[in-house]
Amino acid sequence: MLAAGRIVVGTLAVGACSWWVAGTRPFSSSAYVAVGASAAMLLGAFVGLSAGVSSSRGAPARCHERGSVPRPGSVPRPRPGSVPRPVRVAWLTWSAAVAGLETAALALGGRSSELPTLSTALDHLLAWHSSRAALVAAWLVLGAVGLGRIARSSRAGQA
Amino acid sequence: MSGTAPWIALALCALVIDLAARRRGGSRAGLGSVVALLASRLPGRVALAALWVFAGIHLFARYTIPGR
Repeated sequence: MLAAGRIVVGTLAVGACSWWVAGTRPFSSSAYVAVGASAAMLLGAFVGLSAGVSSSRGAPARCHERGSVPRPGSVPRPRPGSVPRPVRVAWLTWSAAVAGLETAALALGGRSSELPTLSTALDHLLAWHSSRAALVAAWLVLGAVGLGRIARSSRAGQA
Repeated sequence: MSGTAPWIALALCALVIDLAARRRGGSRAGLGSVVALLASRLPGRVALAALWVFAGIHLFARYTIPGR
């Protein structure tokens, strides 16, 4: 019940925040305030959560250390060996391709019709308020999910 | 539209890599596990947070909306 309430409140907050951010004019102070406040709220919540965890617990214990047994329900920290090497190589290659394409697009001026930068390619989605709000919401959810996972893994590591 | 084709191709590549990795190595081999590996240390967390903040500011505060 509590989790459902959190999801409803979170969804409403993300919806309202993204609609507000999407309505601001680029390069205006309100745009900086809207984006900055959204990011600061998420980062502040994460830092507060992490600080609360580290001050209420003792020294961190690494659950992947030899001989230690992770507690039931804990999220183990990933080890370098837990992700197969071919997978790491594939993602590294993909990241290099993205960086290379972005660099080439920037060298062509950024707004070339033959090879635009990633942000120029997203132009079509940024043209309407609703699609822009959807992108802001996706950005906020991505940040919340990422920070939530880090906070959970920190908690599990300190348990 | 032709200009966006390489980006669409890269997005599809990411999807294929993720699906292939999950099929081969289970749920611990997808993109999420690679990001989790990056986030397991402080410099990685700071870099990911900085990338996220940069994306937000670049796209939503410092980017001209076409047609406005």
